[in-house]
Amino acid sequence: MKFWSSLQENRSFWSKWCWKVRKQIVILPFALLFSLSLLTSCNTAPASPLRVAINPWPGYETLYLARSLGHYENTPIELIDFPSAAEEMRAYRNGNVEAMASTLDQALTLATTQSDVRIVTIMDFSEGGDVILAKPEILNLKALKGKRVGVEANALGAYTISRALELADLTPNDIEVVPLGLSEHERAFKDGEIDAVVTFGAARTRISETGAKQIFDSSQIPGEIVDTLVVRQSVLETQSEASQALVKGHFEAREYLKKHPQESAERVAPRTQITPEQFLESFEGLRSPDIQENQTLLGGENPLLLKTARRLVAIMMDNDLLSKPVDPANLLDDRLVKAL
Amino acid sequence: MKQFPFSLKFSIPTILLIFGTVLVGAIVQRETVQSFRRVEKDVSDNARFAGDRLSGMLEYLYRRGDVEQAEVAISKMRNDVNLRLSVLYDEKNRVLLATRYELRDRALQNTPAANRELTFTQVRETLSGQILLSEDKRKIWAIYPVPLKMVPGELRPSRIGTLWLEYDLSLLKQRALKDALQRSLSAAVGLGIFCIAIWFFFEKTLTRRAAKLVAASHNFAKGELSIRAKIGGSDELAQIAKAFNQMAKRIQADTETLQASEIALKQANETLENRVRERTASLKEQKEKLEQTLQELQQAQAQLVQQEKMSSLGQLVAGIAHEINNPVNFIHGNITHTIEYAEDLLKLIELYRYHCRKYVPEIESKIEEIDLDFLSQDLSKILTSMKVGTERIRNIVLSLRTFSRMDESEFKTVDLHAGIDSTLLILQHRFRGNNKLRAIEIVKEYGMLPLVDCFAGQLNQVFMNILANGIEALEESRINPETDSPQIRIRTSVIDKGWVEIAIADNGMGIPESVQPQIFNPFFTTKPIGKGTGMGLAIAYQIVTERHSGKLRCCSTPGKGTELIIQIQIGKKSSKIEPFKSSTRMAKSWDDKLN
Repeated sequence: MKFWSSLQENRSFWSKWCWKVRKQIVILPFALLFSLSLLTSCNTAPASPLRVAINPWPGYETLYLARSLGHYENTPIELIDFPSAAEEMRAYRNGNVEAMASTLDQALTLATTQSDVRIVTIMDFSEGGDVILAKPEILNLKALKGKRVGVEANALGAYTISRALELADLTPNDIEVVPLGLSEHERAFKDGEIDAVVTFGAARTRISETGAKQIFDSSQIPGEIVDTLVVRQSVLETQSEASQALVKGHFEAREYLKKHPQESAERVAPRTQITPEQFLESFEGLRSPDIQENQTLLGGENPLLLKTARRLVAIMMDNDLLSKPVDPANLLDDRLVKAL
Repeated sequence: MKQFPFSLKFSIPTILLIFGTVLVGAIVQRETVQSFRRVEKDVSDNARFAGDRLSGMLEYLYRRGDVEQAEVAISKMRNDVNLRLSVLYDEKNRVLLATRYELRDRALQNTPAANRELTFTQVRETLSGQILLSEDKRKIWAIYPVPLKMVPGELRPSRIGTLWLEYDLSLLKQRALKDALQRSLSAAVGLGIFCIAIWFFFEKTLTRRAAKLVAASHNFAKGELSIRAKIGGSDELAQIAKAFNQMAKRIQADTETLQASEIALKQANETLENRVRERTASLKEQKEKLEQTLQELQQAQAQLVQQEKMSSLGQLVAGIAHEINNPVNFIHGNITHTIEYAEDLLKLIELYRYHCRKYVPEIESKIEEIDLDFLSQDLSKILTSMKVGTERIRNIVLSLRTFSRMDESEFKTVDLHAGIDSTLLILQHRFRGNNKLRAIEIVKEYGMLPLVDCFAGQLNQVFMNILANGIEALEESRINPETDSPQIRIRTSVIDKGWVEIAIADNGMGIPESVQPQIFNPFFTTKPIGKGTGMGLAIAYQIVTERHSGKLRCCSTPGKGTELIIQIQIGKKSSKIEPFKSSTRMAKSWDDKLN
């Protein structure tokens, strides 16, 4: 009884209170709605990532430098290490990455199956960075005949070896091709599985340390090995800001590297287990174009790169490296470098 | 909507129920669909990951020529419960490896992936994997390219196999469905409670109070003007209730005022009608009175004229009678003497003739000359007839006098027969016949009448009028000799105690039945215009019935005859006041003169 009466009292009290604050009560639902909308807006899904596939070519280290310098903070840019270019290409094909640091020939190979390949930046020209290292017994390219050569099939390695063989008047049939990913080069050579290897970067450094001889390098085929940054066309449109930041970061890091080489080397060398000096040395084997040169190479009525690219297509067709011809003009996209 | 036809009491819970059911249904459906989608996505992602990884691994292993490891790798796929089947095909679509060993070395057509040949080709060409969802959404397939060992002499692997992974979604979907249903159930319960709460809320604030208002309105409309809606609060319903109460108060007041004024109006109306009725009645009365007065006046006028006529006639007659009376009297007196003297002289002559028998020739020639015998006879005859003549003159004068006593106001006790006779005498000339008309026979059947108290002159007028009518009625039969001889019969008798009856009948043409009721009406006449006043019988009727409180009746048989019967009380002192005082005075004076 008491309970009910007290409840009654409470009720009358409440109704009186409600009466008094009725004007204010009206505001309640609106406040609720407002806070809800705030919450939902705060809880939006984060921006979709811009994943960049990178393999351990020194020319691509500028991206890591840019990241280390903080240019990629507040962006959805993710730099993903891949052990080899073949893996990169697989990842790109399977839709696991939005951008890729890749050589021109790889980009052309991709373009045969993927229609969204866009070359947005020329990172560098390999001039000596790609080499063929061989056991000391093998003195020159001709001596490769009948030997086992480790090649990163499906990737640049194929191009390099075919060009090298060409220069030595040999064909791929004359050698035994052992397909090896970049990450396998060192071990395979050291274990004696292969007699020679088409390699670059850290692997090159380490294999060289074991006493292997360099019988070929990309300076013998200047301008044919072009390192580029490939971004999907859809990503260029939907994540233009991030794409822009990616390219900008590269050029800024390039400047920084020029100005502070030692510091830059110290920032990025440990990632690939080489010393800063070795890193800087490896940078000798490439020539990195600046923004203006990029704009010339990629843009305008007659992009400079087009000639190189067409020639590359022809070579690759001859060497059975392209399943069908590709028109490089469709691949060059200068919108990002133009904006810098 | 213009009209909301449903009662709130039912519509609110119904709407809530429908809304709740629909929402719950929608929730369940959405939950189910979403969970299925999630399952599909999760498994797709799984498949993508597994496909990618496994194909990479297989590629590596095949590149290195490590087929055993490849087998191990593929068998490891059995760890995933939902991954039902993993198959690796070579470049010719023949099974290299499979988690189901019996599939080894089979062609693609003999495997579950039979209808995916096209996808296989695509995958090989693009060197990228595809994730497919079956049409019934129960299976997900991952198809990935696996570059196999290179043929010697090539730098790019041309032999590309295919990895085919099949995931079964049924189990996952079942679990997802169960979860979804559970979630939906809890949501539904929550929703149900919420709806009930809302319903209660509405019931309290809206429905009940609205029902109160509705009831008040109904009762008010039925006529209970003192009903007021008792609804508290300050929301719209309370405002309506307040307005309603004000309105009701006003209507009530107005209605009462209206009713009061209606009653007043009705009363006023009634009063007015009464007044009007009264006025109308009085007007009618007045009208009737006026009409009556007019009629009376007219009657009186006619009567007055008649009376004046009669009075002047009476005056004339009285004058003549008076003038004649004197000479006639002394003639009548002298004749008696003359007769006596003549008889004496004749007797003397007889004596002389008896006694003087001498023959004297002069006397004898004189006797012959005068024819004494004839003379003596004739003389007495002449004298007798002269006496008769004078008597007759005296009778006539007497009748005239009797007749002229009509306006006497004195209620006299008279002999009615004398009056009748005198009247007959006056009309005597009209009874006579000539060569055109037959004479009217007067038959008197007088009874033993006592003397009657009456206005003698007036009764004489009555007799006069009736007899005149009879004469006119007999006019036809007087002309026509083939009819019965015209006759007027006057019969008097005593009937009952104190009443006398005088019946005057003729055997004339009678009165038609249609006319009979009208004969006593003033101004009613069958004679052509100008020939009669139509007042004769009316005056007679008035005299008999009003002056004498008697009865005047008519019996007539058309073609046979008419009889008018007068009945008068014998003894009665009239208290009626004569309206024509002037004539009365005059008549009185003439009567004095006559007497």
